Amino acid sequence: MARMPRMSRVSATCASQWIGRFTLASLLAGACAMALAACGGSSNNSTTTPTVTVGPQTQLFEGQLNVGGSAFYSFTVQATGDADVMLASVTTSNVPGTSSTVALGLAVGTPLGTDCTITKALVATAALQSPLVANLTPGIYCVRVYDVGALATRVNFAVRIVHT
Amino acid sequence: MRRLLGLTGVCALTLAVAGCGSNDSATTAPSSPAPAAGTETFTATLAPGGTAIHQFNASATGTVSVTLTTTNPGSTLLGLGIGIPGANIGGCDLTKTVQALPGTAAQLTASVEAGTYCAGAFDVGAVGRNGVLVTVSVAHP
Repeated sequence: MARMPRMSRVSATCASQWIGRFTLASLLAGACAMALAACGGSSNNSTTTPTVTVGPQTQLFEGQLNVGGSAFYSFTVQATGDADVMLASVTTSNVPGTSSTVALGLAVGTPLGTDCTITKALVATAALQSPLVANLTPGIYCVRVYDVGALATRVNFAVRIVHT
Repeated sequence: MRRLLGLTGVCALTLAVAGCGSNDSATTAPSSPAPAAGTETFTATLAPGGTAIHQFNASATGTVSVTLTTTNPGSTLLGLGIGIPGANIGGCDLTKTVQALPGTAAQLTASVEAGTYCAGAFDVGAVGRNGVLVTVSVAHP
C-alpha cells in the first residue's frame, strides 16, 4: 500500500475531525428536536379539555319607573348559583341630592312575552346590600322593578345583579 | 468543541422555554390584586354645580364611612353621596346623600357588601365661581 503524502494525511485528519464534529452536532440537534417534539406532545397522549370557570357576572339595570309602572331586565345564568339583586339607587331626578327612600317592588322571575313572570319578590328601598337572593340553575331569567303604590312621581332607578 | 457547547446550550434553553423539565402540570391563572379594606382619600376642585366622584372596592360586607375632611374656601356646605358606578351623577348612581360641612367625623355611612362602589361630593349651591377644593376620605371594609 502506497504511503499517503504528508499533506494528504493532514487533510484526511482534518476531514475526519470535521466529520466527527458534524456528526456529533447532527446527533445533538436531532436529540434536541426529538426532545422538543416529546415535550410538545407530552407523555400523556390524552387531550386536555380546557376548564371553563364561570365567575360571577355583574350587570347594571338602570331605567325610569312611572307611577304604577314596571320595568324588567333579562340575563343569562351560565352555572347554578346565587343571583344577588340590589336596588342600589332611586332618585327623583338626575340632580345629585335627590335620592329617594320610596319603596319599590323587586323580583326575580323568567321572561314571558313582554313581561317577567315573578318567582320571588319583595319590597325594598335603595341600599347597598342585596335584599333579594335567588339560587338559579342555568337559563334565562329576569329582574323586575315595579311600583307597589308608593310612587308619587317618576323615578330613576339602578339595580345591580350579580349572578353566575 | 465551543460550537458543540453552544449548540447544547441552545438546545437546553429551547427546552426550558418550551416548558420541558417541569413536573408541575398545574396552570397558573392570571390574578388581579384582591381588594382590601382601607381608607382612600381624594382631592378635587368642584365647579359650581359640579361633582367629584371616586370609585372604590369593598372587599367584604361592612360599613363605608365618607368624610368631607376639608374644603377651600373653608366651611363650604356640600353634598356627600354614595352609590354604585352607573350612568347617573358623575358616573355614579347615588343611593344615599347628605349635606355636610367639613369635619373629622364621618358625615355619611352606608352598609355595603363586597363590590365596587362610588362616593363623592357635589355642589348644593354654595360653590362660588372660583370653585372649591375638596378633600374626601372613604373608609371601606
